[in-house]
Amino acid sequence: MNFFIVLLAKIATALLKPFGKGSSFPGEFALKCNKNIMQYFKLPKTVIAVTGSSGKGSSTAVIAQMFRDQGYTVAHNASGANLDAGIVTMLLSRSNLFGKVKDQVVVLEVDERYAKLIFPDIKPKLVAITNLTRDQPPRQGHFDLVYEEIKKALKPNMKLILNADDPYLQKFPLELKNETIYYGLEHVDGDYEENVFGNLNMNYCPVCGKHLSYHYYHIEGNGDYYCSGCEFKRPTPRYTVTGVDYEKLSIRMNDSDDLKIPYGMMFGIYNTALCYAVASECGLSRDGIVATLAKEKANQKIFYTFSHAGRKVTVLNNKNENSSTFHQSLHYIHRDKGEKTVIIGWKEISRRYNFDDLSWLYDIHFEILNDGTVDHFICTGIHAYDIATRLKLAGYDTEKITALPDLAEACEHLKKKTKGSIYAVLNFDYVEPFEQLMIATEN
Amino acid sequence: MQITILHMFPDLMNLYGDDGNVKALAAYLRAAGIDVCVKQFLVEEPFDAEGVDIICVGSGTEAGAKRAGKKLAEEKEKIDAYINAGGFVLATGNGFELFGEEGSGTFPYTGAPKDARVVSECLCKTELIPEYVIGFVNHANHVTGVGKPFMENIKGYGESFHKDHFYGMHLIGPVLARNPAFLRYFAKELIKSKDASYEIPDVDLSFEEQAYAHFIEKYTELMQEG
Repeated sequence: MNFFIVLLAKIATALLKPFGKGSSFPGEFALKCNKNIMQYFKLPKTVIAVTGSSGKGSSTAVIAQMFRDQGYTVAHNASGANLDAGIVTMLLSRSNLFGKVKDQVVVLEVDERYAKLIFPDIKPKLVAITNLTRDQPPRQGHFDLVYEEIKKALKPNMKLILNADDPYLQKFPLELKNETIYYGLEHVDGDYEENVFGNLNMNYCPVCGKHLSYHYYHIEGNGDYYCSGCEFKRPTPRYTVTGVDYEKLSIRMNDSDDLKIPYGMMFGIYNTALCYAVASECGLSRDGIVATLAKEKANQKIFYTFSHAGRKVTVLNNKNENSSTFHQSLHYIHRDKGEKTVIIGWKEISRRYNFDDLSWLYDIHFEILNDGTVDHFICTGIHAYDIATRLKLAGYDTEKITALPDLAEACEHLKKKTKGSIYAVLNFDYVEPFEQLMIATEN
Repeated sequence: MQITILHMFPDLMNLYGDDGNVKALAAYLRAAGIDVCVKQFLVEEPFDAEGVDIICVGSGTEAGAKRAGKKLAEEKEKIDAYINAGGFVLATGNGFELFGEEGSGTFPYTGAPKDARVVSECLCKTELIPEYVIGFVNHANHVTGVGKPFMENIKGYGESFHKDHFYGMHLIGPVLARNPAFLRYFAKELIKSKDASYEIPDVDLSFEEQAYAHFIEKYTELMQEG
């Protein structure tokens, strides 16, 4: 029976290929025929899954590359299709009719809410959870709900790889008995003593309920936390970033290996540390890991710089409905103490609703840029006035805030009426239009 | 004039940008020439209403709301006394449930989980102002015992409760920032309760008004399209 489902799904894949259609269609078809079809596949010994709110796509791409560079064949859902149907589609394409996956290693990016439908059958040996942040509240509700969904997916024999710096992730080892390996950052340049972001996801000790204390913070709630009421504290990581060089775009791992990072942003540093930890736990050679990272290029959709009329333009891509991605951008901009102009906007928030949830805009702590170095804010797109309101309430002088819903007009204003370096804090849907408007009219 | 805002459980009940209300209210009052003092009330501390003119509280996770509710139950006498003496409260999201049976029990309403989380955009009508109130809801409980809601849903879901100076609603996050007419109304009520003769100058809310107008314009278009 399963043999024929796989056969038909493979025929469907071949037929659809010329049309480039439906990335998850074969998987959907196979799941419709047998909802347990995932159990049919015979996987290699090394199966790695990465889940969490953000960073799972870029992390799995790097991990897969590390294995390939060291001579392994890898099955990886590189298309980003990370729900059950997407993963079945990928397995169909990498297996024979008997469901035997031909590759030596499987690396999966898994949606945090679908992990419970995937892990029980795929049985990953290693599960890395990047982070659980405020992400798409209309879809996800909140991080506690996402936590419960991931917890349902985890079985006792799965080794967890977690960021030691995020106290929220400590809920996993506290409530489960899984072997857990940590990565994290030591005290590095740019750390701060007091929380500068408004809202943190976990302020109270998950063991005794007392207010958590920190020796220092890296970003948001990531830092060296401890409880003054009980033994709870940040665990000591096996993989520790002992130094960060933003100029050279390099981090030092365990006081020995220098790892290239694609851009100087915090969650990017954490993702690189995660990849190093996963690859090391799988026994890959350290030199090989370093070499793979050295040739990784920055994803221009996430981070891109160019020059316009002598001004440096930095494009920072953010995910709407996710305050953490914006925080990472603001944290990055904040390191530049020179004069600057910041343009913020998006074409739309999501297509799920006719109107939009804007609560997440108030979860973004724009206040951190209020050090007198911002010459001007330009707010653009459909919610230009909502963004302008948020900035006004962050304490910026309304004289410094211009709302221009039309992106072309906003870019004109940016070129003619503002000063300093330009930082474009944009949702992905405005990244290309912005670059075109800025580059097309150069000179 | 000085107005003291007590931000209740800012690090436990602030899931959906609810502190936007504190920011919007404080900015408005300051622009109206009033000294504003913002204090915090954390869940580990005793409740102290001394000098407080308004309490703002927002949304939390279910676990956060449970802890906050337990705290308000312990502080019931002081909370009741504050509200009965005419103290203002602006409670958004599931924060408004904290003053019902699951929390201080000041009001006779009660929340219980529904089959699915309540998530929707909202357009509400209230007798307090002629303009619609816009916003979003995202919560777990359905609340019964609120009587006639003061925020009547033209579109969307969620409950609300208003009595004297208590304004509770499931609308999350920056209700005051997104509804300039409601902000003006609310701030005026608050100021007049302190000094009925205070002349409120015209406060510039042009960004807020344009954002609001954009929403209404888009809504009207969509309604015409059916």
